[in-house]
Amino acid sequence: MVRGIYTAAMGMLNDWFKLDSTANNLANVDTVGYKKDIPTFSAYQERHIYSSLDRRTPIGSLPYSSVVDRVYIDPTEGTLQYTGNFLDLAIEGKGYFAVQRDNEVYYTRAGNFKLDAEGFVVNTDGFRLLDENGEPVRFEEGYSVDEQGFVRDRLGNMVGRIGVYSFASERDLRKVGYTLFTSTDESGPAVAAENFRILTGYVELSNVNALTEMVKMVELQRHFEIAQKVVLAEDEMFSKLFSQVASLK
Amino acid sequence: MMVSLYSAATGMWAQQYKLDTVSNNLANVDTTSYKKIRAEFQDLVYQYYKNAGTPTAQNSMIPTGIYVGHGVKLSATNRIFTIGNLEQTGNALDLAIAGDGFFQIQLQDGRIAYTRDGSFKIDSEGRIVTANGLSLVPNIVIPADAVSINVSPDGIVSAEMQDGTVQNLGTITLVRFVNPAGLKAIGDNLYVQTVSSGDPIEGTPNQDGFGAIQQGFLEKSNVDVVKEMVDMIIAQRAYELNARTIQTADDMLRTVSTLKR
Repeated sequence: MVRGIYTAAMGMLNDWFKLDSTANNLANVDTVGYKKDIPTFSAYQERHIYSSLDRRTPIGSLPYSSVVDRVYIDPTEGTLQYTGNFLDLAIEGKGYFAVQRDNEVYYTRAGNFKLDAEGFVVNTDGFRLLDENGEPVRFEEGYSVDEQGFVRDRLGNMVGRIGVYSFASERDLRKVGYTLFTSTDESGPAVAAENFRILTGYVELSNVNALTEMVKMVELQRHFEIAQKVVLAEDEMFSKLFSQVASLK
Repeated sequence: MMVSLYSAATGMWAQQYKLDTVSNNLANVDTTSYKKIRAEFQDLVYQYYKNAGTPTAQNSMIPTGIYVGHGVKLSATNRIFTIGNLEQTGNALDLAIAGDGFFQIQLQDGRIAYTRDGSFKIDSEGRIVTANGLSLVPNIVIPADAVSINVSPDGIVSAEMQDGTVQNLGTITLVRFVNPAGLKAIGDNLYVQTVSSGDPIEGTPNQDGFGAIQQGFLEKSNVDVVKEMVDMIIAQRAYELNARTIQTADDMLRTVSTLKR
């Protein structure tokens, strides 16, 4: 009897979730290497509810509701911006840089690297950039990086190659924050990337499109208001039901 | 439920910080040898409501999980040490470094600071000093009866005397750092070394990768006005977007509060 009100309320909760996700995208509209989150929702015609998972006693079904299904990463390439800084590296095409802290390897497209006191190339948090063999990359005076990621010294001799890795399913990478990702079972392991170019002096900007996010926000807000109206209408019906039907003599 | 409010607040705070760096860059657009600062951001932690691989009631697995991010943080303010344009001044004691390197300056407390500002003067004792009266290291004294001063590209300072002889006064050495971005700015165009900059590596100008000294030139600020203006516009718009998020969240909360009559 009271399921309609729950369906509407779930719609409202989903809108809040969308807003949280959109808020994070908009907050990161200017974050180098940020990949936006896309929440998806799935409709359940009938979703069986159990009293507990162990006993599996059916207590009914929840019709026509929708729930957050999953959140995935939109791996679209962001705009590449020229900075002129020789340690700003951007990947054109598919691929991620690998950075290491202790024994943990993370993947990132935020190529605004720095040098630490020992000459290692590090990200903003001091995680070391790895080469194609998984060893930290070290820079000395006059080093440069070419489009294929080969590191050359002042005389043009090759001294190593920056590792660029790709995944079978990029959108299934796991975000750990700080513009870092880790691989998951679904994304598949990191393999050496092909068909990429490294651009020196560029950074990849966030791939958040302010316009689409704003449209999404307006849409979810209106949807939220409509769902609220539905809750109110249901409430009114109950009110009538309880006050008028009960008063019949 | 209030995540969006806080995420948007972090976004507004970050953009405000960006504006601070842009305004400092613009204020120093005409400061000799000023190096621009860039604010860099990172996304914050993610809260996982459901992890990937969580079983669902239908004997299936959630493929990637459900998570929400908590906004943005300032990750670094990076100083960009690209070389500014060299401007000809014709002044014999205006020295610019055409390439890598810093001049060494002795601070009043004896420590050494580093600068690329080569607008030197001569003090009452004939020493080469900065505009603030701090002396250049190694200390070079110009004799009172010198007619003209000449600084060669590799740093040799010589003076022509009244009697026509040329006197060698010493050599200006330069230093460089593995990581100049790690230097700490102490104002007055001066930097001091830190753990992350590494130790100074001393050398002769125009050799081993050090820049040549250009007498009669000054290095301008490397601030690009157009770029800074664009950054300012972006900061303002991004600030507005995040303010909009807060407004939306507020409207939605108001909608919630009218649920119960």
